[in-house]
Amino acid sequence: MSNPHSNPYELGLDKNAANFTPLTPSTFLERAAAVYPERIATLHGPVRRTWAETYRRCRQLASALQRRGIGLGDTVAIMLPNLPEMFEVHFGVPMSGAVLNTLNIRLDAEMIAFMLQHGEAKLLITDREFSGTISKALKLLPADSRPVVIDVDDPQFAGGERLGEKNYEALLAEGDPDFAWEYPADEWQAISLNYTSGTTGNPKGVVYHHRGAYLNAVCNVMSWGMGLHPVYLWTLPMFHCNGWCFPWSIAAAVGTNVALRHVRADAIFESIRENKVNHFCGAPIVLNTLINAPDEMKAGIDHQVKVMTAGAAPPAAIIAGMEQMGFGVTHVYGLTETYGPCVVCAWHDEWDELPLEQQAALKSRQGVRYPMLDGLMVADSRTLQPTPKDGKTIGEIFMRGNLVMKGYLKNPHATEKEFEGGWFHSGDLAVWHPNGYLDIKDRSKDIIISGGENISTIEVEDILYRHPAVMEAAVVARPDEKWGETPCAFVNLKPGMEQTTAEEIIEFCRGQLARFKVPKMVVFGELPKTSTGKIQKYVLRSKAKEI
Amino acid sequence: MSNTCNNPYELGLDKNAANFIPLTPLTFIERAASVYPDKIATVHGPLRRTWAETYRRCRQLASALQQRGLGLDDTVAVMLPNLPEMFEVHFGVPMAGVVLNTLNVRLDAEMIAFMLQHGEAKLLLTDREFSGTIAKALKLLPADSRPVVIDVDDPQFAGGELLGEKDYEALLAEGDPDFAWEFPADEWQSICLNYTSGTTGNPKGVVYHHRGAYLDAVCNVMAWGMGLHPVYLWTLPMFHCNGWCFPWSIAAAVGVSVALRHVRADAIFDSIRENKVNHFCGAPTVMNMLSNAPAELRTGIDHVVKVFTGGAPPPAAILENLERMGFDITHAYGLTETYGPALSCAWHDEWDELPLEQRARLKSRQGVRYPMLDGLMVADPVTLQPAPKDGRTLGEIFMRGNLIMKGYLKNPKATVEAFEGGWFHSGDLAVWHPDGYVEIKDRSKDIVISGGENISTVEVEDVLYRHPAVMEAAVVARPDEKWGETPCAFITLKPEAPPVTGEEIIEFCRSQLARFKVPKTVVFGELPKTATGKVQKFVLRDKAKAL
Repeated sequence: MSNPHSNPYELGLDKNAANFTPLTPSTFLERAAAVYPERIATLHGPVRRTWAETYRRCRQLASALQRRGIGLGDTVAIMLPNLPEMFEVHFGVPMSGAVLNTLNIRLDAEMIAFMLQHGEAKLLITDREFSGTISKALKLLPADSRPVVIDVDDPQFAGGERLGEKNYEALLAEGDPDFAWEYPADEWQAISLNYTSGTTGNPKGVVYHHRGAYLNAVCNVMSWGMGLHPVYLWTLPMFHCNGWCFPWSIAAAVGTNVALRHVRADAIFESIRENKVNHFCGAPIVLNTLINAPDEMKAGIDHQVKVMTAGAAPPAAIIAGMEQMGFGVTHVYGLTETYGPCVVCAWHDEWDELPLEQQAALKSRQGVRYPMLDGLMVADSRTLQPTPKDGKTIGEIFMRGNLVMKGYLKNPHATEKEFEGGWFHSGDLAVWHPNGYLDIKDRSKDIIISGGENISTIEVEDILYRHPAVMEAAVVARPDEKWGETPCAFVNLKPGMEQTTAEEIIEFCRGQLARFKVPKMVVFGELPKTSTGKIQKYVLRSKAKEI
Repeated sequence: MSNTCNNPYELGLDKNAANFIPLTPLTFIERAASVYPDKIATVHGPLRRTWAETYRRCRQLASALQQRGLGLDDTVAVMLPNLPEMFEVHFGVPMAGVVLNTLNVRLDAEMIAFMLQHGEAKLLLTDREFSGTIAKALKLLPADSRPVVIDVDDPQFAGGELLGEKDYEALLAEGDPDFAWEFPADEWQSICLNYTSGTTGNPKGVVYHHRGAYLDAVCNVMAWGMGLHPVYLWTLPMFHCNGWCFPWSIAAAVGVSVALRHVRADAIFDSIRENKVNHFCGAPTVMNMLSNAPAELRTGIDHVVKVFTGGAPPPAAILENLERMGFDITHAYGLTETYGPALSCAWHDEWDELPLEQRARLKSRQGVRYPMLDGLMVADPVTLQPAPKDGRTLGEIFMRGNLIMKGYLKNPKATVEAFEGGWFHSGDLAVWHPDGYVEIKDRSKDIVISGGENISTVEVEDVLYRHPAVMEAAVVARPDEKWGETPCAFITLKPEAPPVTGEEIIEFCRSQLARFKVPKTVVFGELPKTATGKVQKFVLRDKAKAL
């Protein structure tokens, strides 16, 4: 072993301006604009902007913010749909040194007000579509906490009203298009603030750094095989883990961002057809609407389309449905705390030989670590002892590495708890198959314990989805004197299937599940959902209690 | 701006074991072995090893080294051709914290002895093919500087002799296949030592760190669109900038490494046909060899093969030939000091519409910065003022960022000089086109200055290559009383070409070059080359003087 004091590999070989640069995704925008200035960067209806234009606008934004005294350590909040402007702020805001806080547009005024105050936003960029919520939220803030408001005034949308000092174009005009923005001094510098959707209590503010954003952006491109110049449709909200870091991925791959204001099946199919979209992301709910769309909508698409899905364990039936449409599905998993996707169901070519049903089952597993995530395990929640890879023993999913958040803003206690033992605690429960593939069984708060036995609600839902009349299903615990808890299924039937009875559903499950897992009760109706399309199981649990 | 002392984005959001892991390419082999254990990792004739086997062997190697007392910042030297073992050492050696020093197999004993001593190698892995040189080199070393010698005893090769204590397989057997290797404590830790080929004076030892190796590996995959599971043929020596970081790229993309002991046209075409090779790299001399190969060798290959070429500007005529053969060529540029490729000629789809001649012209430019290189400029060598983007003004290529070496081992003076002004000085002269694409015109020591005018020897050589009888050409300065210097051309003719005179060559050049650039003298014969196939212009300059 070398004596560190005379170790020649550590003498005169230090970091300097020539050989070290902090990692930041803004570098990809600079390169895209320099190398491919004329390629289309964003597309919104008839409006097309090149990479050169986009870079110019981002520099103007950064410059304008700086001139208004906004920079390092400040927060800029955004309440926008998936417009080109939403893409631009992912570069323009960090280029000023400020932190980008993209707000969930489906939240209510009270929640928005909480976030604006907690995050201490100095400036808010908002779309007319949300003026109702935003004006209410602003009124809830003490006068000295109110951010400067700038409107995005999209001519392709009618409705709502302007609330702010001026509009986004006027803000850009304040700035210098050749602004000499600076790299962050340290790649550990915060780049964005994302509040977790939070089903109970106050949402927590997850902080990302430039390093993690850069690495996950590149990881997406590399591990999804996106190639050069992908055409990417914004079905996934950019306020969701910064669009799973895809804004930065598209810059790295010098692709085209296709805007989408409202996620509807007809708009999606049309865009795929017209713009030759070849990549998009979405929760299984979105995929479900595509599968159930009328055939005429799906016609005329003959190029390869790749879909990345996550957000809730997608039922095998949904995967099968997409593949039958000719769309290649990649299943990923992650949390706000992990920059979006950090686990992927990495495919094995030999699985293509299996029957479609079996393929879908394999693909519904969450999988293995993303190339840039360094550690992944299923382990005992308290002892952190890894569980056996037997496909049966349930444990919690733990992650560690460069795709794990910086921490929670102003919440050192919660931060410490999540990182206890040197691993990030996901709160999701899973089994680990012999080949190392993870398979989520539940969130710890959702699992049913009946007669001392664990019942994975996801497993039961998977079975329910196989019933031809079922469009959506959610299973929750219902208190029971004898068993402690029993499974209660809430089902939303496909249109035209209203005559289906609870008994039929229960009988169907009996044919496919162990007796104790079969739902004791089935309730039909619409399912309550969070703003990101996740079913609100705690609402259903309350309902189940009352039955 | 926030006061950094109470910047909430910097409080309670520190690095910890859960959210920060040093970047190291070693993480990729761990993942490849865990996710795709049964996929083939290396191919050598009939010999195939999976990723699980390869990872096991690498861990055995690391463990064996550690058991022998080697560790952090010790050096292990290797003198191997492109065998699976050469691939394995790129993981096994760094896993022990040891620095990998891959030696150039074509060097003489004196040079090898110098490197072994300068790098202080504690252990040397050597192939029987080089036993002659190695035996001599070892004798030149003082007894206490001699490394432990381990032989790689390849059954597919006859010749040479065993020199060492034992062979590589026996060394592996000493080690633990489940060795719990550790990530480097700091990504700035040294991973490799690569001596520059050095045309004059002692070679310098370029030091790489784990961070740069990781980033260039990923950059290769992303920028070249390698996709998943590429089949890669080792036409490029792995002792050349660690094979341009491709060993680590192949692990990241979970591809296949196809070994190649000797770079010959027939072996290359055979391998492409049999193993369905779809990616390989090589210097223009390799490209030349392939483009001049008889047509029968090339039949039966009907899949796309992507080729990455760099090391010296490829003549347009050669690029033309290869494209016609169906190879998809990407041109890259870099130095040992930049982890291999740091620039690439990023292609624009619209250039595919241009005639072949023009396309080849564009493709022979070195291009633009690789996505992971942060800064590139052509500038005045003294003032570092950027040159105008006019395609004419000559300047030096400067680079900065994460793909720049750590520095030169035990040579702080050369290191400081190389990084003066906050940029890495490449020593290569180029022009900068209006679209930002860089085009090398010469190395500063090779340029011809005639009557006060600069003559780019690369430009003249390019024209010479267009003559149908010319197989290789090199132009150097020849002293002249009147002009200071004049261009002198050394040419190797194609074996099957009809005889041609110096006058005919000069006449040919007159029709394509400005008068002062036309060679005044033409000499026919073989060209002297360095161990990596580069023409030794300093040798030719001496010859030109003596004429």
